[in-house]
Amino acid sequence: MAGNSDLPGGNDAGGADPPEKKRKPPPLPGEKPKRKPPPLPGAGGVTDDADDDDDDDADDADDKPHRSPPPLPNAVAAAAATAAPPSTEELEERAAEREKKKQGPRAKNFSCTNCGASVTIRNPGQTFSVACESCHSILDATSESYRILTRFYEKAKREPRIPLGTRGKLQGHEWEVIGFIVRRDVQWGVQWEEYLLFNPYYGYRWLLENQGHWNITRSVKDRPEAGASSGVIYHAQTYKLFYIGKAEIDYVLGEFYWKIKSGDAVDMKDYICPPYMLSVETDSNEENWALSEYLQPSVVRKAFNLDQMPYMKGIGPNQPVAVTETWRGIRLPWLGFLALLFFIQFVYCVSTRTEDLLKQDFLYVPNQKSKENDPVLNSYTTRTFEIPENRNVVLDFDAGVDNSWFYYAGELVNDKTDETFPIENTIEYYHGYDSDGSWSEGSTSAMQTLWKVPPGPYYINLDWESGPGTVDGSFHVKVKKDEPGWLNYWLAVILVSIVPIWTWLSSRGSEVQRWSDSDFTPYKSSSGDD
Amino acid sequence: MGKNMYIASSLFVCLMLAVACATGFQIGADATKPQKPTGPHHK
Repeated sequence: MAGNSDLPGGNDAGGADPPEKKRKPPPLPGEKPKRKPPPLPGAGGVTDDADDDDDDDADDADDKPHRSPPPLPNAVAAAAATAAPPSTEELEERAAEREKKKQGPRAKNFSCTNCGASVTIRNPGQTFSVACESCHSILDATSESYRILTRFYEKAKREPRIPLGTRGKLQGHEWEVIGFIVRRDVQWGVQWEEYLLFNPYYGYRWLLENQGHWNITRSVKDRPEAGASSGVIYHAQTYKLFYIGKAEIDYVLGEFYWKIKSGDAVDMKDYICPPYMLSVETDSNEENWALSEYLQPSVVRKAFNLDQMPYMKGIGPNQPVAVTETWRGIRLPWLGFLALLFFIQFVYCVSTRTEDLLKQDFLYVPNQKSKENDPVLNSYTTRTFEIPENRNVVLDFDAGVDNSWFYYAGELVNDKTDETFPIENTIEYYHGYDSDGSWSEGSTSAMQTLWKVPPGPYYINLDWESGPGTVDGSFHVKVKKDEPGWLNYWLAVILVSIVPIWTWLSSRGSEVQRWSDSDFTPYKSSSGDD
Repeated sequence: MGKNMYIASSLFVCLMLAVACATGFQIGADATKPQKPTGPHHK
């Protein structure tokens, strides 16, 4: 890959999307609530226990909710008002909840060990590290003394585009931003942003932004199988290898479910199957797989009510392209229509009974002009033949010219009514050799089709002129009925193929652009330097 | 152009080909109507 890329994997436009997450989230502590799901922690004065979580595995591949999403506080009250009479078990639980509520709000505050500023943990019990929003030191949330994991020295402070604590609805669920990471591809230096989202009922997700392209990512438990050409197969879908690299954490803000610190690095691989992308992160201890789904920027903007969105550059690794979707949708119908057209033409050819109505040869004197005073020399009248039906008639003339021409004009004459069909054409055929080799142009014969000639006895009158050159002086006239034509067929083939071919070319162009950011592009340039 | 529109238009093209085959119509065929006799036509 050329080194002009600024994306992971050595790319610029549309680059390798950020290597997706993550450390596998820990199972949420506590038992599953049997009744209402807990509301989002933190803002809104929602209180709860650190160990109350519904522990919906954040890394559950299916991610199917077993219950309804967590309602906001008002909804909780409304639900409680309409609830059925509680059982003994539920009453005990409620008592336990009341006891827990007395212990105070779920969000936890303490003073930063480094600078003394107030630090809030929105999700205690599952948070292993937290970054001070004041001095950006990363603290160990599991340590009673909140020991410092990493001191923030000077690296440029990054303001997350989506502030911590912001809630937004994505994929039908409400998420709260609790963490923010800036990561960088070690080889190419490209940075991207990752937001840790949390919902006490659905667990964790990652919202990734790279070059203006957004993905929502979740960890997956099941491992893909090895596929062809370095790809993998996951849930019967083939994912192509797009990126291999190493990512390092540059900046951290918020809280996380593992002990994070700047400088942490992992080996990464991305496999794409738009709009999805499978990513694996590997370090010395573990291997974590994550599945990302592409999000349109407008969706993210609406979800988090953002004012400005980053400029979207190129085509994202797993960005769905409309023309590609169209091509995939019509390619099979296209083949079907081609087969149908061929079938129609085949039936037409087989069922058409071609019949020769006239075959007649005569001689002429080459290089003779028409002479009105000598019509016998340059004119000819065929014998009479019968056209039986109101069908097509094909007139086939062969003059056998060789580096010469033969012009004829005349008419097909109805012997009963004297109605005529005009006939006129020039037969010319030239050939030779030049510096490029042999060449030829024209033909020694010409054909004319008359549509729906009324039945009856006919003959042909012809007058002609011929040019100089070598000719054999013989002229052949053939009249056929119902010669199957192919022009209709080929025109239909072209009409049916215009859209598929156009979409295929457009789709290929988009795919070439997408894969130009990858070292593993299947679209190799002819020079082999791509 | 969406998939459905492509399918509809392609079906129309197939139908037109079938009609042309059934009627003997050929693109490029000379559809000149017969002309009235204008003079003696030798035979």
